[in-house]
Amino acid sequence: MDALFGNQLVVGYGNKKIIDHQSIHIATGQITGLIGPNGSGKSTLLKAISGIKPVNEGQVFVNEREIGRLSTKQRAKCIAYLAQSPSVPGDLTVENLVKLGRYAYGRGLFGRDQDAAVQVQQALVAAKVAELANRPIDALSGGQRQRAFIAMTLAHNSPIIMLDEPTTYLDLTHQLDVLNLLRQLNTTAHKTVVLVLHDLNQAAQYCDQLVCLQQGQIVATGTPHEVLTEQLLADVFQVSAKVSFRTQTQYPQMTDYETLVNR
Amino acid sequence: MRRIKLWQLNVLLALVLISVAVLGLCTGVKWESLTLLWRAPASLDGRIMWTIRIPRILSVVMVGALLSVSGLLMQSLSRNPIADPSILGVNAGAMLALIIGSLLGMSLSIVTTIWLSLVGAAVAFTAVLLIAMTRQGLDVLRFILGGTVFSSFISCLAYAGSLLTNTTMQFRNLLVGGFSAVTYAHVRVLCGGLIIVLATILLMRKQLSLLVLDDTTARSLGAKPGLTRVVAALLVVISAGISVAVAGNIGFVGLGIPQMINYVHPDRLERNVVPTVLLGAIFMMVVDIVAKTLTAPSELPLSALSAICGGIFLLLVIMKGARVTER
Repeated sequence: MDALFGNQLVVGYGNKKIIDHQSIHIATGQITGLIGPNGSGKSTLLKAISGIKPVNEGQVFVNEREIGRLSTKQRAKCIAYLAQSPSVPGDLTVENLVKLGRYAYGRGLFGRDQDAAVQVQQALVAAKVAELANRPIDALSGGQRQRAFIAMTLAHNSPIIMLDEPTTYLDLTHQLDVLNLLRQLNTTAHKTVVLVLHDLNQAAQYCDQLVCLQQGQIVATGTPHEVLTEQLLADVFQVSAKVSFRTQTQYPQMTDYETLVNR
Repeated sequence: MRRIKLWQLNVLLALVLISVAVLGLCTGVKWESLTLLWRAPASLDGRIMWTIRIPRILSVVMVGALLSVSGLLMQSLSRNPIADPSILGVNAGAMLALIIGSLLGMSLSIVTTIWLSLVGAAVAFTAVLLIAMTRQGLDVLRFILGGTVFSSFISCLAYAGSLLTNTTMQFRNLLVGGFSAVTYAHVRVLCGGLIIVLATILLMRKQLSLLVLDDTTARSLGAKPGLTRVVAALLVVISAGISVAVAGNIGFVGLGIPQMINYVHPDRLERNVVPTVLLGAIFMMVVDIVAKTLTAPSELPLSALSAICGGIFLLLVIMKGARVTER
């Protein structure tokens, strides 16, 4: 079943079309990775299907409701979106950051939100930042900072979480830390996760579905096994690589890669 | 270190404010007893208390509150800890508008004063925003630098206009700031402005708290940051414009006060509005007491005193290493 469906989307900046008449299905309860070379339109597509960026043409449906017709608060309750490098004041504490994530639940004239305390605490625990609650953002390591932002998106309490390159700027340990957290949220809290990833091996390891883009076109969709072929790596990424598939790990991994571009 | 609780901070500040307000009521050219207010309201000294000192302390408290809250809004609006309407040209714009209006022969009744300063503040703020706008949106560095230069420029125009027409004495209160000429009419205007500003903040506190986030993140949380920015900008114009109309160009209150509150109690805007307003009122009260007593019977220029405090404070902020630009 689809958690989200983007139908014939046209997205761009000004007159420039970045995404041109593309359709995308996001399966419920799965981790979907958007991959593709730089400038292929991954982030733009993610922004469009999360409702952050309005589409020029086409429709995005969440639970059979068109996202453009939802109020911004209703949309935020369906989809949490985390930008690549969100900007916040450094002296904001983790707990206060997460509290901001409850904005969509404020009701009435004074924005009352009865579940705030419980939900904020749950989000802090789920993202493993409960013990950092009173620390300012500036005092966190890169990995802790990213977990704090994930806690903020969890405070939305939305079934879908979308993240734009959540592992960029992190060292390998923290990259795996963040990806493991997302997988844990996927299995235990049944979150549908959509994320943009650059590392293809990590994408293959952590995602159930991959969507590969090239110059604003979706060129391949399916399981990592179906998408990450030597042919696709050569065609889309201009990389010659050996793709091995080990039975005990269940996912393809590429090794011995070399650029095909002549320099 | 155990942090002070918000209610403790508020109670403490409220008590301090009441104390300095009473002190402000008693001090002036000569020390008056508070009991005069009800013991001999009809005597000369009693009438001074009722017609001069009471409106004066009410104005001081409200101007302090308006200036500090405008600074808090400006800092959230621009996502920058050193933003303040006084250094970004909003106050200077109001001042210039008043001087131009007066030189063009408009009689500066309270109503025209308010309108002129609101228009001046709005025009100056719009100009600074236009300077700071790029294709990518608001550039914080351009906002601060452009605003500071623009502010100096229109301040110079105001001083030049006043000097060339030999009206510096007439505009003394406006140019150097001061509360020596306030009446109950000013109090009413300030009261109206303060109620509008605080009520709007109360109703929009959740949205205003989100202003510290970048627009994409705010939008992902379900907010409409563009609309909120416009409201916050209007509130800044109202606060700064009315303050200038009543008490002249007083700088740095909006810069330092919200920072100090955030230092002892770091929190979201919605929670820090009340202590910021209280501390702003206390600060203005103390500065006014110093201004009217230190060299009595003449008064010290209020803006200079405020600027000295603000300048020292700005240096401390910079030494502490606060970043000027967004991260």
